[in-house]
Amino acid sequence: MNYILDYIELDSIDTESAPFSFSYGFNISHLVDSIQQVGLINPPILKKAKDSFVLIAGYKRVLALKKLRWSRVEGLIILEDIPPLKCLLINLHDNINTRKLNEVEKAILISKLAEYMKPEQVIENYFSLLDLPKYMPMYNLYIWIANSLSKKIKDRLASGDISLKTVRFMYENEIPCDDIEIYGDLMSKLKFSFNEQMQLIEYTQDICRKEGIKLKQLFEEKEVKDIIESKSLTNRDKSKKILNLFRKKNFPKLYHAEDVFKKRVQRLNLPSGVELKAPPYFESPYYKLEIAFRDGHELKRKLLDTINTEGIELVGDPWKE
Amino acid sequence: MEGIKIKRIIVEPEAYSYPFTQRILKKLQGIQVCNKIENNSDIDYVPYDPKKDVLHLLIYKGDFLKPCPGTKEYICCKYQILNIATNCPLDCSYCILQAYFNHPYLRVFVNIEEGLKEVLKIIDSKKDEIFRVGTGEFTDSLALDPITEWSDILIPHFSSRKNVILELKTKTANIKRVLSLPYRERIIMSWSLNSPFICSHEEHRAVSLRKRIEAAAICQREGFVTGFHFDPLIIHKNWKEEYLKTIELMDKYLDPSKIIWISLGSFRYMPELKNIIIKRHKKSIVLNGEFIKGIDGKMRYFKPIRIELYSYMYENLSKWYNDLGLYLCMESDDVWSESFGWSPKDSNGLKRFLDNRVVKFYG
Ligand code: SF4
Repeated sequence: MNYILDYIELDSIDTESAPFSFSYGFNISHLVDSIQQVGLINPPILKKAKDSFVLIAGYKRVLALKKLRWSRVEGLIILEDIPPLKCLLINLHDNINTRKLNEVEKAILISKLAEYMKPEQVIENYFSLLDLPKYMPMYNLYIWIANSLSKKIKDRLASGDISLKTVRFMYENEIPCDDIEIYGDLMSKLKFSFNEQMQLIEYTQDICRKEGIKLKQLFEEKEVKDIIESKSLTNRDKSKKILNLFRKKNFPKLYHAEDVFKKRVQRLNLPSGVELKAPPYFESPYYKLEIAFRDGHELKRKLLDTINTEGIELVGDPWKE
Repeated sequence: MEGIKIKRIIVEPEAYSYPFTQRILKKLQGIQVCNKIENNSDIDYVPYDPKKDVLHLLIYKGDFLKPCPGTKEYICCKYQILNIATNCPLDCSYCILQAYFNHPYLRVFVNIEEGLKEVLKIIDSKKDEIFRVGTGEFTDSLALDPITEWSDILIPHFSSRKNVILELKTKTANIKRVLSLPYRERIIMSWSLNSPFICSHEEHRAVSLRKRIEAAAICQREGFVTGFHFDPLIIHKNWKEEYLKTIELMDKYLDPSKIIWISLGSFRYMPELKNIIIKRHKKSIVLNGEFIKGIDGKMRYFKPIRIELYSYMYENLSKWYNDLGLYLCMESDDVWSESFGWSPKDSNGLKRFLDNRVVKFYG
């Protein structure tokens, strides 16, 4: 490739369109710091346009320099007229060797590659490079992320507030865009683990489908609002309470059974270190007794105390009187 | 062809020479035929586009007779499936087949006549065992019968043996071919039933509940023993009144003494099916219940809900006639006891119960 290293005015570099960049959700302050300390190590790669230079690689570096109010930068200027796909690939390899792309960046890159080749080729030639499994639904997911998600949700995905698994779940379940925004807002306000994010979506979508209401309506219900707007609860408490509320709405009979069982066991006054456990969802007919003990004497004593616990014979399925 | 429209036929090269293939091609003259699957993208999105108007004729290389894929965690009736085809031209929203097979099209196995010989060898080699065989697990037994003429192929062989019954389970009224044959012995004509609401709202392309029961009544009059399957029972608005309507219709048209068995099973599904139902059947209500993950990994109603469903059906069906051979499909011993007041205890016990019904009806 024919190129020269030369100094160029920063103002002459077009950072508005950045057609080959797929950087997203970055914070340039670290880069600014590093340039301040050791200067610019890697020159940006550019090609000449009519009255300006088009950035091929080094978008963040140029932004950092502009922030530092540099006026000139030494850039690697490609002299020949290389096709856009090649520019995109130069930028890809410039990035992929030095850092991991976030999910939104992968999505932008895939959608840009898709402008130049068939989906099958994108998958075959680039998915391994991006650490992605080679199959069409994955491609479709990333195209959807690039083209259909709002900036707000993309920001949260790029920052890791929302997991890819959650986004994929929303995609596969064809969650409407309005709903995705609502989830995005809630997930940024309250703290949900990735598993809880999925549960939240599943519970609420099920409730809306069963009750024939919109998600917005569900979130406007008083008991939901009371939790979200509570001044006394921490964000973590709020997320737990919200999930619990939606679980109760979704599984009223199971929830009630668990509650009755818990209360019955509490009333039993079992010896300390002795626990009675219900089978998952009460599906198996077998309950379990767990006893913590130090030696045979203690075991014998606890067993006898357990047997003699008043009301122990009433333990059983909570829906039976 | 009695409601089933075939738009394309795919014939695998090695399937061509079979007389079964030739008969079908003759019958469906004028319909586009291709020699193999031409477009792989056809297969990519199977669950969402099952292509129920394409007939795929191929050779089946596995065993034609297979035990029902029950799970050891629940009591199974030890039924044997005669695998004549996979996928179904009807389109019930809850159909497990949507998630079960990873291929589209109505796959019909053209080497059935060869396969049948092997099946009969197995049956004949175990004279002391009663084989309850059915074709209605991976497809509807009669939906394609006007095209495939399965009944002509199968019925004579099963009807003439003493240690087997063949159950043809359907949601259609395609009984013409069966009635035209001179065989009645050991052929059980069965219908899947549900509430009138579920039949019309969820069982797309199937005939109405009334038509099913009328067809069953004709078969009874023509000398057939009948069976019924309330599977899946589904919780829906006014489900008690709705299921009662079905029992009332049965009472109006059917002779209960000619019913060998009625199975009850509540809606259960592999987790993957949920998405497919949501996407393919936007108006479906079948998912609107309290589903928990069962011991076999499938989703099913929370236990007390199932018990309520079964007890209600048991009570009302038994009121109609107290010897209907009622049994539960894939349930646990405790659910049996609580719903029916007795339990076969395990799969062998249930097999014995159903085999005894066979003996009672056919000797
Ligand atoms: S009739 Fe049976 S096999 Fe056919 S679509 Fe309905 S549930 Fe599935």
